[in-house]
Amino acid sequence: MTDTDKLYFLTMREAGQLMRSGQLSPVELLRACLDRIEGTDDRLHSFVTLMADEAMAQARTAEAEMLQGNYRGPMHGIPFALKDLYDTAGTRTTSGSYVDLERVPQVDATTTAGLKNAGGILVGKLAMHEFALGGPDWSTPFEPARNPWNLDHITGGSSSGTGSAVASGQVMGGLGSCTGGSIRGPASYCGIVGIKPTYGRVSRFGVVTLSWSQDHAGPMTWTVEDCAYMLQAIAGHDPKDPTSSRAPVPDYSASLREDIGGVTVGLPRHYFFDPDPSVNPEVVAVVEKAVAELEGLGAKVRDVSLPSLDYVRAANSVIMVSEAYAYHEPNLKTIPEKFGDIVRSRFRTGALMSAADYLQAQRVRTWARREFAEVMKTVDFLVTPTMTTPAPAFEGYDPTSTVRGRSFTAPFNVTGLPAISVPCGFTETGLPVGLQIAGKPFDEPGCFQVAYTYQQHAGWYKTRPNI
Amino acid sequence: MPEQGEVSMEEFRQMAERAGLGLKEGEAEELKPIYELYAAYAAQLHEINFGAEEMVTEFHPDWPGT
Repeated sequence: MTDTDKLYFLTMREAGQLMRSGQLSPVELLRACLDRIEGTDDRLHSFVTLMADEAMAQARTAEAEMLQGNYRGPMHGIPFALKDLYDTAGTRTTSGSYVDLERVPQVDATTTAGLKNAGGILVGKLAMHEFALGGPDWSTPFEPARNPWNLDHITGGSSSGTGSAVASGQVMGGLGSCTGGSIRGPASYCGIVGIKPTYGRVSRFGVVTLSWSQDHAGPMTWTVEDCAYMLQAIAGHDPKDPTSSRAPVPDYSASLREDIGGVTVGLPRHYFFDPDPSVNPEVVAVVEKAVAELEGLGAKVRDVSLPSLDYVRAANSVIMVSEAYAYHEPNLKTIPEKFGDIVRSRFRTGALMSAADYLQAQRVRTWARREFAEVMKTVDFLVTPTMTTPAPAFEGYDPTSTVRGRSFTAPFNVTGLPAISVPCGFTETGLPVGLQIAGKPFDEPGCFQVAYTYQQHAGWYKTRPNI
Repeated sequence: MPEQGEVSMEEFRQMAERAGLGLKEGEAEELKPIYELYAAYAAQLHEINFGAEEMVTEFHPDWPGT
């Protein structure tokens, strides 16, 4: 662990204040991040494509705009990067696969464009698990990203490079995508903040599909406030995404207040806290402490029951591989050798699920959504551990472990509810643990407020990995 | 011999063939254990009896101009 007295360890909020007051130039900030990438990425492998020249041109433009008094907002001049399944016009978007190794989109994803329009500086494209599924796989084109807290450990995924890049200070924020936990998982394993917004809140246009009905796009950052700034730039209706919501987008920065007095928090203990062979008790103990702190800050905590949780993991998995096979079928039949070993097998299982399996999974989903809706009438938020374990080591890692046992993140992909992961401590071996806060549909502001209050009280954000 | 409810390797090869997967030599052996993980999930889902309720199975035509 190291001090944070370095430019690349500034938060977006801190950097923005310095740039707005003329004490820091976007060019200077970008140089610090590029130096940081050069000094660490041979070990972290966060980046698959570095866009240093393009980024420097954008930083100079931002500098000129600021000198003219044209400050666009909290993302202006901020270096960020994208999981390599966000389309970037003119720059390859590989999805971490030989299948798309030479794919160069003509149009930016709506989210890519949103961050650029907000003045963000796109530094490059980030490592990921192939097509957003599986785990570290040496039969795919790029070296797997490594965890800045311990290089012998995985980052989690599938937004693996986003986790390592943000935690190590290579960039101040990045986008991940999430079908079963791919934003909150690496956020928890890498000690950063990540939000999976409500389904429909952020456009999926130009984001390569894993599972149409469960894919979500969202930001990963060092702090809660930075997550709010980034979500602000990408949230909103998009006619190019048929599932995009027309719900109005609030000012997320207004929710950055330290106040959770009277908030009611539900704990589904039977699934998330009670002993289970797939759940690490040390993680649960760390999260129990965080729950006690929330109570100390004024939250009312009560147990809730959600019987559908026992079936939600199954529904998430069956829907995921069925929809993934439908999307990838042509390539799986014509160029199967270009898929990595893990993903080729997973996708192929989608062809072996029956129509009845898929429909039953969707019916379970409806049941779960109804049940969650009823419980959310009695509490404001659900609070749980984000992951069942801390980041596993590469050595002996079993990629099927992501299919076996409980998933603490998938219930919120299946129901579409917003859920944020915020760091809440470390294991005895120094690996981060995340606290998951899930809210009612489109209550991202509430999730931010609870997470921000906890973050400011607990202060874990003051500690950075020593790399 | 497979346990009750499991498919034999020969049955699995036939399933993969019917699905048009075009597996090469040795791939069925690699795929079957992964399939079994997901098949167990599918079987778990079918334990629930939702009765006759139309859940998700509704079709909502969304014609332009209507």
